[in-house]
Amino acid sequence: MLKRINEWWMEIYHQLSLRNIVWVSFSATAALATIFMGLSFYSRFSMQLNNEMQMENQALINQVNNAVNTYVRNMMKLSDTLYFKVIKDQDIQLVDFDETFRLFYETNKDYIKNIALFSEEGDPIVLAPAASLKEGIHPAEQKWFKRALEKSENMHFSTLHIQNLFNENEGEYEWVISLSRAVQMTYGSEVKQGVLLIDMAYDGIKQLFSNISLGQEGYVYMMDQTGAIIYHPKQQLLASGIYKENTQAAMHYNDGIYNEVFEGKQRQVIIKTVGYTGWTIEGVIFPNAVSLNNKKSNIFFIFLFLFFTMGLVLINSIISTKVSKPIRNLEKAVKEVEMGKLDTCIKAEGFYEVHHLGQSVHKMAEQIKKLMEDIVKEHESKRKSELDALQSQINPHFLYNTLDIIVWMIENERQQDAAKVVTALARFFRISLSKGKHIISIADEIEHVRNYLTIQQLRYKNKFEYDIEITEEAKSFATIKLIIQPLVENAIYHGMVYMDGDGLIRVQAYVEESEVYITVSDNGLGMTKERINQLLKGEIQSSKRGSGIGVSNVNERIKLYFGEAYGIQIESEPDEGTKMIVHLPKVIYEKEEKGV
Amino acid sequence: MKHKNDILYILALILLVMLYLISSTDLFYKEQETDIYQISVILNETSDAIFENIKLGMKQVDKEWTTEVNIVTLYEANHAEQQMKLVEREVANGAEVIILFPVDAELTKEYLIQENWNIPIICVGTYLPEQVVDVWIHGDELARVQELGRKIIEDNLRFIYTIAPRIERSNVNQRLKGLKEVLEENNVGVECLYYETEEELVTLLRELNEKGIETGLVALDTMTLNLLMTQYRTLEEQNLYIYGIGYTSSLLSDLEKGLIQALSIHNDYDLGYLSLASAVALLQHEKVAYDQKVIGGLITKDNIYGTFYEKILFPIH
Repeated sequence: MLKRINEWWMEIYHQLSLRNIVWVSFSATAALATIFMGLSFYSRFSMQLNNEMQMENQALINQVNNAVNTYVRNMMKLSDTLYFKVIKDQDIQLVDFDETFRLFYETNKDYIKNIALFSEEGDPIVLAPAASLKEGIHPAEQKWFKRALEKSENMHFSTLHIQNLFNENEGEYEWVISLSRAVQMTYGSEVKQGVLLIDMAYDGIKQLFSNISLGQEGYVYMMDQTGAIIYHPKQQLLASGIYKENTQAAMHYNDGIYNEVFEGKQRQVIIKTVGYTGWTIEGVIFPNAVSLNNKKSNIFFIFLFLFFTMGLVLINSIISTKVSKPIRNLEKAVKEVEMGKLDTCIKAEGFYEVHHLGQSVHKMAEQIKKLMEDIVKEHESKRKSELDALQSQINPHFLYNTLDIIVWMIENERQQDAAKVVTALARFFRISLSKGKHIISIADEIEHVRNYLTIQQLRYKNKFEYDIEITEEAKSFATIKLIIQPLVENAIYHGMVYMDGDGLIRVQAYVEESEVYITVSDNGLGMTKERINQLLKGEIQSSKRGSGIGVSNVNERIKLYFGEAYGIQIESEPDEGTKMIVHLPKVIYEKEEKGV
Repeated sequence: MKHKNDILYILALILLVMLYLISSTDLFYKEQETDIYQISVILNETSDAIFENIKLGMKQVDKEWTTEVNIVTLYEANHAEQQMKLVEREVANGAEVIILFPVDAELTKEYLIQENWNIPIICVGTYLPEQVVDVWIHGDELARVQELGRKIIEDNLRFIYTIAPRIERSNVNQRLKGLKEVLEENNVGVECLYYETEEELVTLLRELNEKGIETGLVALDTMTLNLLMTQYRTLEEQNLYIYGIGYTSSLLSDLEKGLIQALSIHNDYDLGYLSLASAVALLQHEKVAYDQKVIGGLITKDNIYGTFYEKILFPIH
């Protein structure tokens, strides 16, 4: 599967241009980087914002808690002051507390609805503001009264309730929290218990929570240890069930921060306990209310992302075009060179590597052009040389002379010799032509020379002998044709014609140190170094009557075919004879034939 | 190819500009604005004194949304046609929703069908069908009067008088019907008395009071009870067993004192809250239930300060 994907990808990849690859990969990288950075910053910033908000909210809750604590302590202090400074150790029968109570009430009437002192039986002793009890109402039956006497060492805070004891404000019903405590009252020599009541106005408590904002939907509420709500911004709706609050869960929370889901909404609750009372303050925050997540912000982020991405894409497009243009121009030029237009102008432009590549391609094109010209020249030269060689073989003089000899032999009834010459001639031309091949085996070349020597020996009335030696190994190697015969021809015309039957031409073919050597030696007149050079340069021809090829032609052809390392070497001393050494590479005839 | 690229670049630029305009200006998309909703409340009385808790409930809504509530009272008591004219006037003045306490259900229905004002109408109290109004907020009138009837029976009264304004009022008629059913089933006699003026009411009151003890009197609407009690408090001898429907602070005080035996009540705070909340929801194109019922009950001197009734009678505000 992976392999297939890889193959598919490579197929597409090879069709993509450099510009597109650079542009797409840079743009994709930039886009990914932008997204990554954007998301990271967004997430970090959101988290930071949320943390900040959480800390702010906690601070706010603490503030409210402090305010409530202060309020409660003030009320408790008031109760303490009334008890310890006013009531305690004062004889109720002798001292009138009305004025003192009234004064306390007046001083604190923004926070207090009533201050009252009751006997153990519930009879009112002092009431501030002055009022009478409602008919049929018995303070001793009230919960706040009973609790005060039950646990006389503590102060007690009641639940939020309507104060219905007094007649003073008929038709007015106030919500209060009753702070009650048992007090010791002195009646002459007796000490009796009573209950001191301070009705804390609900408005005073409510004020502590007004203007507290915990984000868009957040709010603060307070409840007592039984889960009864003391303050809630939607308190009335809670009572009728139109609105719900998670008081059941909150009752079991200790101070701290809790995440919860209530009525399908994720929210965070900060809990703080108010000292002494057991009340708890709950700050409810909706995390999503403070976030960057609103429609316009989201659209703005999309705008930013697209803006930067498009900017980067544009820049990448320009850069990739600029970078790839010289390469594309170079590619175009190379295509033209490929199609054979070697004169194409290859500009070396662009950045260093492309510039250098352009120069190199330009040089390469020029070299190719030169090489091709050289090859053409070489082919032309080869073709000319071969043509020359071939043409020489069909030199009419040699043919006429040989035919003359044949006629003479026939006329002189030397039929066997005639047949020998005819056969040799036929073989000679057969190998000369070799069906148009340029390369033949050394065996054939030697055979060619043998036939030539057969004819020439007879022509020159046995003025010379010849000896042909060829090793078995050398037979199978390749040579270009018509290279030995011209040398032998040279040996005959320069060496043998002046001999009186003691002339010797030796032709040898052997392999030595991985090279093939064919030597043509004679014991003729020899030649000077000058003559050797002239011969190799083709400045002199061996004979006008000869093939006309020349030693130089042979040397040239050998070098053309096999390289400069090969060719003809001439060793000669005047009056001592001449040895021509043909140096050829060791190439098996079959391989070379296939290569032709 | 280049031409194609140019077109793409231009389109991309246009998209960027559009996105910028949408995200950073108010040209195409405005963030949720704080709308001020114009809402008119047409009462069925000449005074809003008995609607205190309803108004408190409406104030709660005002904390959450910004509303401009115009409370309109009648110029003449129980004048159904006048009430419709007031509705027409409020609609013409730009009211986006009408909260209506209908005087006469049939007349109101006819008017609403005929006029077809094309704004949401919320009916409080008297029944109006869903074809005519968008929301009906009410208490369980029948249950309340049945409770009241049972209380009267418990108090061993064999005969009671009901008193109500002479003019047709749908809710009054419904209450009377319900009460009569319960009482007559239990062999308690019922006589219906009607008054036109306050003086007539006072006269009736005195006459009944002079009948002696164990005379029961049921005021079928709060305004009547209010007027009644204003006079009754001043009488030297108070012999009647008075029962009523609805409440005010002073009526509760009378209940405490034993001048009133029982009051059949609904949660007026919730009536006010739900009516205005429904109005706002309708203006925000939210789905709002047609039939919305509020809780209620029968309060006596003994249970007035119970946890349940305390919050209904004395809403925390």
